[in-house]
Amino acid sequence: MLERRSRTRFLRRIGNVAHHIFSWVTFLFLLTPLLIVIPISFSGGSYLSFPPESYSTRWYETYFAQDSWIDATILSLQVGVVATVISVAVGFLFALGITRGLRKWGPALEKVALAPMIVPSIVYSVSMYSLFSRLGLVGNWFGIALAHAILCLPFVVIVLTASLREYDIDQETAAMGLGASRLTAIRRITIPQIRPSLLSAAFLAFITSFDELVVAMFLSGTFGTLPKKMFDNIRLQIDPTIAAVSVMEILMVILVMAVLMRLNRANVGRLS
Amino acid sequence: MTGALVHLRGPRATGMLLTAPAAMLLLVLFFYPLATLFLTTLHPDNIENYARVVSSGTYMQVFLNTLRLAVIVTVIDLVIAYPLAFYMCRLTGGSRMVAFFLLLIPLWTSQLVRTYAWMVLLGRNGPINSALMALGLTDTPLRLSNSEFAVVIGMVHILLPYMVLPIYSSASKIDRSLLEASRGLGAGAFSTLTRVLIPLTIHGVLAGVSLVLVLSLGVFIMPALLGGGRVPVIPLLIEQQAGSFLNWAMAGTFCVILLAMVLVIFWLIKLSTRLLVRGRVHA
Repeated sequence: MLERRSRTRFLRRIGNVAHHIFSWVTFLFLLTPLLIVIPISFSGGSYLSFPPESYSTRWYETYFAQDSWIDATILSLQVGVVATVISVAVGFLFALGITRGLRKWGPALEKVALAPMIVPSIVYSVSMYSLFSRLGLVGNWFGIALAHAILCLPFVVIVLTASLREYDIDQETAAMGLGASRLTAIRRITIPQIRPSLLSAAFLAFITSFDELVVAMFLSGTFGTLPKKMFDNIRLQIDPTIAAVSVMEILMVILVMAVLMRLNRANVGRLS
Repeated sequence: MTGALVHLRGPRATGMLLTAPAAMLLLVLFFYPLATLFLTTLHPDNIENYARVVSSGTYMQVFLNTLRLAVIVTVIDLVIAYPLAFYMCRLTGGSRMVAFFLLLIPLWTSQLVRTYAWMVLLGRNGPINSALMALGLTDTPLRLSNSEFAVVIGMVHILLPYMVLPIYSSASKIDRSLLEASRGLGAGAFSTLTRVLIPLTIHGVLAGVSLVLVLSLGVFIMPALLGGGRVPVIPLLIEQQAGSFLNWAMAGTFCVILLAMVLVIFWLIKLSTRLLVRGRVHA
């Protein structure tokens, strides 16, 4: 009996150790590709090898010296900001609507707003191309921003409805009872309290647009967003400029994420 | 103005007013173009495209291949994500923050960046081949890139967080005392897993499975860049028809078929969730 119990305890300990190792190996698997681009972005040679034979900053210089890279980056920033503003504005009102007045229809309406997540982006791109070619909007950056706003909307709605459902609505009602209009109550009482969620929503929306390739590929004419430029570059000639761009993008994500996690300490899970 | 409406027509009018802009945007820029796309493929000029697709062995092969790839990726992700999600539940404080950070950074990093990184990692002169050769496991570099293997690895990597997060969210709600009870009542690790843990996390598992399946059916970047033309999937077929052949009608037909596959799978998983959950309540 005693022997058996110590055997199970031993087996359990082995299981625990295996669980530890397995999990951290998985985290390593998730992180490795991101780490590997750092040394490559500093390589001195013009073809890919790992580890690089010499080191330099020439690929960063190439990026900053070429107008086509800078133009693509500015275009992507522009599209991303406009798509973020549209989707957060519209998504915030939507989230307020389904958590306030339309509580009965809320869940059904929320599902409708999440639909763009399920439709493959290539299907959406083809459908938008035929709409925009009739409207003469193909090759217009604002058209891409509009299409991106639709793709960003589900993330905004998920984050904001979750946070508005958790938020204690009595505070808003109390403010209204004290004479504030609903608009003032929302502006002065609700918005300040869900600010971290608004920031997460905006960040998710921006990243979604900034990284999006397929819609941008179909809807941009001769010019291209940063992902399109990167895609063409990877397809035609792999030089380490892509690695330099990648490192800068990764740094941007880590920076914003650190800020958001600090603001949103209690709700890290929601950042997904 | 909004305040006045609240008092005049009650909260429902306010709710409708607030949801109107998003609803309009979705209607005009999402549902309308998709409906038009669908109707165009039914036009007499285009309808025979469906017959052409169904009678073509090559196209059917591509459909099956797309589905097979999605299933492989989903199964691998599930097997990795399940223990990982439970591990993350065990962590507390700082190490939990680190774990979330490690899970979310790849999720938020550009898919192109990650695909590029895999191209480098799996390349002929990449670190994996160098390591294998240094260890003497192979004399010549293996062809890891430009293969289905590469596409599967890239997709597993990119979609893993989508599997972990829903499972984590249902696993984190499990009362630990249930596990002690199961153990105390004499259940072994295996029966605790199959009779306690899996039933309690089935919601998260099915949510993760449907998310990863649906997303992997529509993936374009990985097959295009890591497949080297050897991994035919529907999204590549669509891009080829539209981009290279300028055959938008055929591209539209493929789009409708892909969307139908996605919706059927989504609906099937939803149905099985309902059945499984109800079955559990009755038991």
